[in-house]
Amino acid sequence: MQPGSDMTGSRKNVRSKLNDVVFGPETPARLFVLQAGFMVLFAGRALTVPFYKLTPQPAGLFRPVPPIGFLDQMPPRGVVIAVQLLVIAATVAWFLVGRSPEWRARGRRIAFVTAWIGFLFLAALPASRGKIYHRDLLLVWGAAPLLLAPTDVSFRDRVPSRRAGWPVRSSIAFLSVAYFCTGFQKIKVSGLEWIFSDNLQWALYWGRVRGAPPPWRELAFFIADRPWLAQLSAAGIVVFEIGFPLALFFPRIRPAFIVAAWFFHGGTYLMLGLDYWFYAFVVTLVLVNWPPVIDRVRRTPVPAPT
Amino acid sequence: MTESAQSVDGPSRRVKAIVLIALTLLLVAGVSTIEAWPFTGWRLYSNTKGPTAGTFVAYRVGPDHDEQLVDYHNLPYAFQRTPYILNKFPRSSAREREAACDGIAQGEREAGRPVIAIRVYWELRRVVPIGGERHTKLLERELRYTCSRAAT
Repeated sequence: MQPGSDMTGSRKNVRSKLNDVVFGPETPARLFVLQAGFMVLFAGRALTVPFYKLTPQPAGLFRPVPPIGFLDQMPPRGVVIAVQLLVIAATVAWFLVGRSPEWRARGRRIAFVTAWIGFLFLAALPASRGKIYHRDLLLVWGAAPLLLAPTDVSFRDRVPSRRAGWPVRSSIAFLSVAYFCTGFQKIKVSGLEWIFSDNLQWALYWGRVRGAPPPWRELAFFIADRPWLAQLSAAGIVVFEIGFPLALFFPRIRPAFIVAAWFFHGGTYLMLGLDYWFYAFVVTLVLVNWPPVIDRVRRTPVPAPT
Repeated sequence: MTESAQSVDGPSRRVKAIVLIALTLLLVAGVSTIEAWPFTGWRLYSNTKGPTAGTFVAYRVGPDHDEQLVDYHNLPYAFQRTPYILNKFPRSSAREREAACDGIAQGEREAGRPVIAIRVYWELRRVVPIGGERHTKLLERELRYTCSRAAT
């Protein structure tokens, strides 16, 4: 065997491994739950976030992001409410159309694409107020591969295939890139000082600069008063973010990342007052292999009333 | 993308290319700090924090020439991110600054508070945690911009 052909062989191996990681097989049932879950999250966000309150807004305070760069001010309230209702209606339609074998695939695709575009429009509105707004981006990017995914899948189908698997794995890849970049930026901008300094202590003392105080400031101050604990927490944050792509390569460690996501985003809300709960929902939806979990819950006998 | 365009075994080359291009763009934007929302530099708390922090603060000047802090909690929800617009003032054009001041003045007037000008100060504060509460102490304050067009 020539060294050159060895190299070609190992390159092919790496390529095939990477291909498996991003486009490998999963069950159609898992894809079904992922699609349904994203639709519920779109509708949940459209239902609970007061996007319509962003308007009317004086034009001088409007800084549109690229997808709505054609607007010179916030759209009228009626338009925003209509889009919120459209996202909710698309979600309802996605579930209803599943009952019709004739319309299932086409109808679900139209509903999913409608909900995603509608949600992108809604998410662009708070992002157009002078500061880059990340709160809805994990949902936008996590759901993006599903725009092209097969929509004729069923919860009953448990035979893994690449056809059903690539949207699930690609979704994990999008989440991995997002988290990795968030951690990478901390090190790029601030270096290891982000961890090994009083950075997190002061971040916790400051909390959210504007708005109501965080719900659990006592915990924030408890950590901030102990430099070793603050630095340990900072290290944990960076390891979680930069290490997130490991979840793509090693499915066994995914539960650890789910737990870490809830601690991290829960802590961010409780101690800083920044509401990133939705990130934890998205991570849980995408990383958990739901069909076996749902089967187990369904099989659990309900105790008879005494 | 139609159903028939997807191969039975997996995604078509076209789908794979779209996914890989999107992933690459997301990664390049994230690593190179390119802001073209929804592509973003993912800068979330990436700057280190210290005991002091500076910010731009808007004050409303009333007919009696008194200055009152613009309290965004007393304005509609649509105004609550206005401080971020103020923090962009050094990089904004005079026209953009005037337009932002006009917007603030409009909100104040609609809330029943007369305005003859908007003044924007740079304030440097130090955080002072006392007994489980966060207080801040003003260290420096400097008038940076006055928008008198807001009077009209």
